[in-house]
Amino acid sequence: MTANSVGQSDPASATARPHSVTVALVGRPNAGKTSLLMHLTGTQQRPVNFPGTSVERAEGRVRMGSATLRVVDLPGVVSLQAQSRDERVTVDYLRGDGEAQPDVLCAVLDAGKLVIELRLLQQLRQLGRPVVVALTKLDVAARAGMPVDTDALQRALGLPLCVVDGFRGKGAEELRTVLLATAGAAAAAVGDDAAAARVARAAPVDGARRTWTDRIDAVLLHKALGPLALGLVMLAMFQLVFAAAEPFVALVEDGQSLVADALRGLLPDGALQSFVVDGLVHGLGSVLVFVPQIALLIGLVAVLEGSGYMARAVFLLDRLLRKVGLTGRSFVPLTSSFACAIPGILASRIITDERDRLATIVTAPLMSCSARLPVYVVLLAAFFEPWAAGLLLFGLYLLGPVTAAGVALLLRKSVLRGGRSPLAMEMPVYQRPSLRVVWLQVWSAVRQFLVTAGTVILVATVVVWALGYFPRSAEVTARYDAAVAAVADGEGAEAQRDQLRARERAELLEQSWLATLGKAVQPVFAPAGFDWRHTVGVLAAFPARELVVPTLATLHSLGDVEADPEAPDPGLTAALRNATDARGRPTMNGLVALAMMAFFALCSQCAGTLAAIRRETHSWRWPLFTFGYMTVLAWAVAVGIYQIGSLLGYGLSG
Amino acid sequence: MTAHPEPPRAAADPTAAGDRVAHPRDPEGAAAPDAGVGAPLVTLAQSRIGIPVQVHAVTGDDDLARRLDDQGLWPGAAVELITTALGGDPLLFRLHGYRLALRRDEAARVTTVPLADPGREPGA
Repeated sequence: MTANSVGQSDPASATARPHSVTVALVGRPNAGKTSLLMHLTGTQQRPVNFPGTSVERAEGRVRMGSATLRVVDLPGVVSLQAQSRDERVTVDYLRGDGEAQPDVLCAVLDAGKLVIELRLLQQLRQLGRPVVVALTKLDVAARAGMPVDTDALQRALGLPLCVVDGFRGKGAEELRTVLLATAGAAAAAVGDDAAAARVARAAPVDGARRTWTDRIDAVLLHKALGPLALGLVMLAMFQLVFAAAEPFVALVEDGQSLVADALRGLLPDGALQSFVVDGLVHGLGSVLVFVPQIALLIGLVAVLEGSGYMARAVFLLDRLLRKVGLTGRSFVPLTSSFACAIPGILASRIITDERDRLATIVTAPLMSCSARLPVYVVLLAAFFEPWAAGLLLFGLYLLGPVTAAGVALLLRKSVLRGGRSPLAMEMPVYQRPSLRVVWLQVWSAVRQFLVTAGTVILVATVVVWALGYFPRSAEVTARYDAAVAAVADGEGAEAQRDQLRARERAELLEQSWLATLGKAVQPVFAPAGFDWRHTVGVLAAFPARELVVPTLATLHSLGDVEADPEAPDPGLTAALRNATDARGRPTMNGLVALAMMAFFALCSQCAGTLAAIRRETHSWRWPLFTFGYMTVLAWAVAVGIYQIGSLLGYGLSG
Repeated sequence: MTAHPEPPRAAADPTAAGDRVAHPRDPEGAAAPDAGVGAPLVTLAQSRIGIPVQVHAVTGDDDLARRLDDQGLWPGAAVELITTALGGDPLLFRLHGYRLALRRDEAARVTTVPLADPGREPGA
């Protein structure tokens, strides 16, 4: 995607408008750029990809008289010597690599740490563009005992300077005017840096006042209290995600069945109806149903990031993560992956070293994403007491990070040996997160999920539908039509007909290509205790794991079963418990369920994730590797569980 | 990645200062503070909490050296250790009025000298 698809007033089409000025907001991380973008351009922001990459930036535009101000918010950089991917696209953009160089550079400087900020400004002056300084967090600097004389600073810098309040937006109006007036002005000359440095000089290192940040850090970075607080924060976060997403998930599911029922009434029975309802609508629903949890978890991560806490989490966990072959900065991507691996994989860009980044990307899909939960819930409810189910669920969630640690360590000792991302990370002051910035991040993650998952998962769902629908046996259809017609009207007739139709669906599915495939592949899964129906469920779940619950339900003759995590269908849990093979032996018990859950926890069953890895690594090598190692590992663990369990006498025949 | 050994106790080959990263000097042109003839150079990794020191040089010329330089570890800069994470790694420093987290081996790349006059920014 190019910037031209964004709007009408890009340079290429600027002839249509009298005047369009592009401003780039540049600054170190945490300088308050995104928040400033909001105040400069109102509500008109949208995430835009850098040309030729999947790295996003936020853009906004605002009309000023006859001119349009286009403001581009760039990822934070500490210097123009780029090291991470995020930094590289920023620097390329500033130098005019790939698209037009911005007309004006707006250097967003944090008054609280001016000495270090001026270093970046010095480099920006050398880019040959006019520079305007936006000075933020003046109040923070004053409170910390380091007030800034803005007039003296402006004189020393010789650049237009505006004081802005990043939180409330005071000063944004003036900054807009100055930015527009500066466009077309001469490039910023090299100023008197020594004089500026004299103005900016920070308070003596031990003379600065003890601030709120120092007091909070005394607790949150405390050797004992710090890790404890981190554990509590994570626990609260996941509790909140599961509890708060529930009503929204129910809403999506209700909406889906409403639409499905309406379409079923509109369309004639047959392949078209089944394609639209069971293929398209179901596919769309199974994509949308994850949006609430993704939005909530990403939102909470964004709040923690905006407040400054995530940097503390990275600080506390760096040593541990390094021991297992990752880096402190892997923490945010891996946490996001508990909602969905796709935003998690994209968030790995902040990791500087390519090997650290790859290790994070290929282990992120091991985190139990929201699509695995319905599988766990159905199987746990069917075969375990509530107390055991709770413990097992916790164990399944723990399985992800523990396995990831082992895999990352192995990789970093073999194919990804050597190299290491530096930490060298600024620890920002605590602040109230801007909700608009949080919203922008949530929207960006949801958009990325929908773009990737919306296309790939949707297509995959339709393919699985087709494999499960064809070929239709006219004989079976005719037989059941006759049976349904033969049901005498009266009490229970409707239920009896539904039951017949469900059995018809099951029988048709049993003759489908999907089932043929399942039966052919079943020997592979036999050592894990799976019968052919479980194997069909597993195969159907390969493009997208949310397909397993409905597939198992159909195979167990239940008709439409919603994958509702809160209220697992009592019909399905009972059917799974009571299912028998041709000779009347039970096909599933707690041990098989455990093996199956472990399989789902570890297996790479998401075409969207693999597509995201392909995009982020620019090769097929890593998505194929991820798919390969996860599938083999999942199979091995499932087989191991079943075989060991059988030896202990918990097997099906035992 | 291997567990990193303890940083060298006295990193201190004074000639190490010779191959430090070439960078624009402290804005005011302060030269690297003189460690004094024969005075042992200690690294930032050996700092003690609450006792500010002055940067002498960043050793080496690689991405990490550049990153440390970008983050304000210029000759003459005053730096103070605030705290460390559990296990003593990473370390959190205060410099130029902001906080910077460094791993122990990163901090070991920075040589320091005692801060001559703790009440004032060096070079003033």
